[in-house]
Amino acid sequence: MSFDQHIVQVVNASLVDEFEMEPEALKPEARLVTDLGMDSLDLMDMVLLLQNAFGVELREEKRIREVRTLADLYTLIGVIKQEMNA
Amino acid sequence: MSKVAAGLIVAVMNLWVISLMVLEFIAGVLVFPPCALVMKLYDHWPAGKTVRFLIWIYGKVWLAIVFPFVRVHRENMSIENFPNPGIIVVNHRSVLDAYFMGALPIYDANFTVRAWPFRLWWYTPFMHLAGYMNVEAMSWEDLDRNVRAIAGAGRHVIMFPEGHRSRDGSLGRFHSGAFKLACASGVPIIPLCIEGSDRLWPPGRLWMSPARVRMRCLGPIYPDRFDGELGHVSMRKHVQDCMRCALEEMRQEPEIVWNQQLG
Repeated sequence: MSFDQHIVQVVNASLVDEFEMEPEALKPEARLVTDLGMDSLDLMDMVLLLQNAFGVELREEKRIREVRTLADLYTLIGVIKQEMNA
Repeated sequence: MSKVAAGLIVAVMNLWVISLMVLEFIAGVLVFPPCALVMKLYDHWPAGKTVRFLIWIYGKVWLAIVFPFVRVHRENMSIENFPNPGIIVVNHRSVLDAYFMGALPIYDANFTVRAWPFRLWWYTPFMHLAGYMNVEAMSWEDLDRNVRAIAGAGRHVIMFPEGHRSRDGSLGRFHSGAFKLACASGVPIIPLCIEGSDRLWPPGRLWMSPARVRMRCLGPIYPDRFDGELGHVSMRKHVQDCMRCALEEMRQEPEIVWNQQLG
């Protein structure tokens, strides 16, 4: 599966800078909670950070609840951006 | 010092400390109820406060037990650096870090801990009585409510923001909980650095070794400097940077010879 590289870069940079993730751990299949060790507060902070970074509304977005992996996150941000531009 | 002599000291230390810790626990169980009763009758202290005070004394006795083998240096640990209420955040390198809280100048503090210490059945009743909080079993709303009540009563909360012990001695990733609570309730964060407890008893090793442990309070950091929706993230990063610098500086001190010889 291919992702928008800009989205991948921004998401990964946020995770490295704000949550001290190891860059090599940030594989698309990595699960946010079980593999990356994020807790519920981290997830809320991440949503806010990505909202600010991409200028999209994520907090009220119902599909965010279905995000389990980084790939899910890249895809969702891409879809929301496309919907905004449509 | 030869390796044999160093090994002998380690063996004596472990025999001494472990046997006295068992004795301390038994004495504690026997002495706690009458002490609590006396304090209830004469000082009218609530049960939680009494138990937290006695746990603090328990920590002080433990510090006396390990004193022949563990030198504890305290820096900036005067009461002025621990304004109440406050959230004390401590780096975590050893299972014994909680005992070092007996060196704090304040006793009325509620720990937030993960689920596993609550499974140590010999401690569980005291932890419940003291009002310690199991962060893995509580919802965020309950934790927030509890911390606000503790802050409202002018007490302290002790948290280990790394969530678990560092395996390599470095300061691990901080979780946001303590900082979000501080920003939400307007309570300062009081960073407390412990250096050397990983040499005393690191994760994965079966025995203790003599060590010098340094404790340094960095003073209160107030949340009003960190505003906005993500103010707690900025605060977390700032506190973590301060602690990382302080720990690096504290680590520069030469290690005790016994540990170097035993690797």
